[in-house]
Amino acid sequence: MKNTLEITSLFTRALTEILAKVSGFTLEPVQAPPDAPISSVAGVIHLNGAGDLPGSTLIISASDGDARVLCSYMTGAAQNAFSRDDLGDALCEIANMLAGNVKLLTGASFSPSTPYAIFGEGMSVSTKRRIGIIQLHLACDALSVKLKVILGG
Amino acid sequence: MKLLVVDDSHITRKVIKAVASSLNMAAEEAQDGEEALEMLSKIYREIDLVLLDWNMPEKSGYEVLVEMKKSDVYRHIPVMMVTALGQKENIVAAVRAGACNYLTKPFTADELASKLIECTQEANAL
Repeated sequence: MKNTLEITSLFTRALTEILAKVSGFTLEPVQAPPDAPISSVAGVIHLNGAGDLPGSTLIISASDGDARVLCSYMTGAAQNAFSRDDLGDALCEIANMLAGNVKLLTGASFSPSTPYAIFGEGMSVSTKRRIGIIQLHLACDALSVKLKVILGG
Repeated sequence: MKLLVVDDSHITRKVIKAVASSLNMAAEEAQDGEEALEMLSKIYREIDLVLLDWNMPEKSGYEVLVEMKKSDVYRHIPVMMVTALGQKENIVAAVRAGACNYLTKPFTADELASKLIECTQEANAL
């Protein structure tokens, strides 16, 4: 398993590149406490299997407004053209791309699950095992996205 | 030119359809592998190219590709994989199974358009 700093750097790079490509925005890391709540729309994917990052879970979340901005720039449609399911779908697709990108960058042998969406305010993650949780917060003037990586292994 | 776009992400299907439309290509949609095969059984004569995501519920895009290439009815239809899985082993497996092209997510509209034009030219050359 890579150390936490390496994993943070890896996910920051991968997510920044993905968001730049799908939305055109260049997001920068901003300070985020590890226990910051998940935003109201989230895409979740599990990395199943052996190798680096085994058993990890990725949760990418954004506020309803930020998810609308993301959908709008991904598709070219107006921000009010999207249902709640569309917003979750977009974040699931970003999670899917992030899993694939990290797999490519690390050469790890995990198998990404089918992503799913969760919705709600102020959600947090609690684990019984002593495992690490990495929290990233990427933002620019127009868009803000959070990533929580619940490390497995 | 008519595409069958198979992806469990509604947003991605919407993006692909918009790019296809800008190239004057029509597109049908399926949200998983099972639905894709069901649709193909009805409209395979109209479909010139199938775009397949890999990681989908029910039946993966790779499984659909393998089934299509085993079928006397569908094997002539070109298939392009459009997936977040960009590892060499995935690309090799897809090409060996009969995919004619491979595009890794995330992609820009220009990258997708180039691939669609490439596939069209290959299909016309046959």
